[in-house]
Amino acid sequence: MVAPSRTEYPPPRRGFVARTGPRVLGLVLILALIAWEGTLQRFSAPSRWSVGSVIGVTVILSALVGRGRQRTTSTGWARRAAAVVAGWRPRAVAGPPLTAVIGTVVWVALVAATIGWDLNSFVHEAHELPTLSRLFGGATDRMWGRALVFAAWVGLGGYLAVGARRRPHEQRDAFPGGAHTDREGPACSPGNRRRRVGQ
Amino acid sequence: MTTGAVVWAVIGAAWLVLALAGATVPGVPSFVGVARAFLGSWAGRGIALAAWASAGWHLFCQRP
Repeated sequence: MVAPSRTEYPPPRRGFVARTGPRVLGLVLILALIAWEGTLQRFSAPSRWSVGSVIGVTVILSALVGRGRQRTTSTGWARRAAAVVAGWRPRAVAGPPLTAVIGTVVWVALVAATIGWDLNSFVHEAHELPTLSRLFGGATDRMWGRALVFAAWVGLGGYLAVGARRRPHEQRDAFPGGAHTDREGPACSPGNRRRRVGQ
Repeated sequence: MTTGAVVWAVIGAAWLVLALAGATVPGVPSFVGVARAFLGSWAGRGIALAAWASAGWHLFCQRP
């Protein structure tokens, strides 16, 4: 009798309940949290505990899931960002397509307009000049508004915590988000091994 | 409608147009592209998570 190998490939397929159960349970818990959060008041202790717990869990989840799976190092990322800012030129001088230049300029202008108008409204403190947080505050004063905004916030946090990770077969890249990642992966990656077996 | 509300509506519409352009026009930076640029390293992810956490705390626990 031969003992089953620990490195058996492909791994044995788990049952439907084992595969989907944890996800369904997690989804139900999150929906229950969102519904409960909608009933809370802004200044209440449960509200602070729940929001603080979500922040803590998200940060811990990010650290656990992302260990060794960032697309680049922090130093490389900072260098790349500095190089992009320092080397940015209008299209007449160098490289980027016109749509990218216009898109980037509009992005910067809109971020500046949003922050600038919010600051202006904050400084004047007038009824006819609401700040962005006062607008959101009007929505989160109601139960459904608070629940919906909370759901969007939790979803965004989940993406920021676990999204855009490097897959196990991808190599680390100096340019995150670009097309420079080795999508095929090294020759010994499981995906390529499967492809070779299938050929 | 107050002056501030009109300006916020214009800014919101501009964000909507930019989001649509980012999703449809090649070359225009999209929300997902900008997010992925931040999430490529621990430093960028940390900045994004800190902004997310402070926004949530302000929105749900403090008086906006």
